[in-house]
Amino acid sequence: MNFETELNRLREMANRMSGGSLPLEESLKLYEESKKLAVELKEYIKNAKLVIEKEEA
Amino acid sequence: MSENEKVHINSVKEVTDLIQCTLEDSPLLRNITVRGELSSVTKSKTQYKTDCYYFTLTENNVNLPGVMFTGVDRMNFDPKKGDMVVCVGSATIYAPHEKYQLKCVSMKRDGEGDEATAFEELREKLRKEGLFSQRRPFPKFPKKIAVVTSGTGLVQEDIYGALQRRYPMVKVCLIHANVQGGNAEASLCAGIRKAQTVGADLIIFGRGGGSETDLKCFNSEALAREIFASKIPTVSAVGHRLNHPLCEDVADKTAGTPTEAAELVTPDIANIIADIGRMEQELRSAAARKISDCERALEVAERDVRLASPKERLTRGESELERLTMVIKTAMTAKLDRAGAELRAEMQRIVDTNPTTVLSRGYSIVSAGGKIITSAEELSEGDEIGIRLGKGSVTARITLVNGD
Repeated sequence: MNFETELNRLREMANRMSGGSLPLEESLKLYEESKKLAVELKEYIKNAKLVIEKEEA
Repeated sequence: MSENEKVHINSVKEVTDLIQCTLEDSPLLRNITVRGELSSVTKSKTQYKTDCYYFTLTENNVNLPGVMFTGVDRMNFDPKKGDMVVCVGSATIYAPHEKYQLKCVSMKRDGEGDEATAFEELREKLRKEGLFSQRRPFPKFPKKIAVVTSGTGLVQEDIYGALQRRYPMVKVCLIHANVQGGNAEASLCAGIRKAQTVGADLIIFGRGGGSETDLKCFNSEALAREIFASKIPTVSAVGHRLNHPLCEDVADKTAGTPTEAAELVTPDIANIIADIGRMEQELRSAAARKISDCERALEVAERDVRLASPKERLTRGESELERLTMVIKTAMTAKLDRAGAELRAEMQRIVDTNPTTVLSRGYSIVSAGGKIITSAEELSEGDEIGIRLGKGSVTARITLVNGD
């Protein structure tokens, strides 16, 4: 997952929803999608573990 | 006259004072600069708890004792036996120990002044070249951080700890470099170069604190130029106590500790989680708002449809008809009532003017020969008349006629 991209996508969804001009059906679809994405992001954060590579100068 | 009377005999104190005055008042021995090797150094505390150094300057078996109270001037190194130093001070006598000494106000390592001047010149040169004006933006969400430091020190552990806590989704590429010793400069330069090739989007370089000698490689011109040439932004994390190293001037950001460096370049996951929570809430209420907006719109539409239907119009027509019928009925009733009352009044008037009604009030009708008599002159004595009373009638005979 590209965390930054996905986080921005969630932010965009929130902005579009708050705008209030979407048709109902699209709103509901977007809401379902955003709910899923938020859960995925939180899950991703929960499981994130620092990955360390080592190199010589 | 004895000899004793001719010669002035001084007290020990007087002689000592004289020597002291002569020595300490001599402009030749005041604020003089002297170079020598430290053959002994003892550090102790004064009664005021400040540091105090007792030492001996030596040159070809000639010793000059000295004392220096820190706080008089800054002593920016830790003097050790064998150091060549340059001191500035004045000669004094410490009477109780029969000892003269140089009371110093400053002590510098020999050659340090030259070195410091050269270093400041280098700093100025690089500043003029523009090496210190590079302050690039950092990615808000870094994906990979190159860390150029010793692979054995605590610096890496501090950085890992801070990143794991704050932003564990980042990748770290540790590039091991020697941070002290002869090849430190070249090793650090190679580390910065290597960092360009590992797909990192920023570099943290540095080491933990150390002595001035240990930190010398971070003052290197070659390293400064390597940092400046970096394609990705850099953070300096060099622990130090005194003059800031050259690499800090060049780096895009400077941190006091490795932990701080990690904090400077990463967002805090706690804030991100809070952000996600806020967005979820926003989305939820926007969706709920949308649904209730639509419900309201539906209600309005339903009402409009209902009002426009033929059945509704018929029902509305019926009730209008009913209303009008009622209005008419009420008006008619009122009119009839008024007519009835008028009729009753008229009938009363007719009843009131009926002659028989008048008779009942005590009047009589007199007739003779089928004719109603209204004057006495129409009758004569002996005429038979009929008298009609309110109730019944009688027949009578006239006995007297009065003309008026």
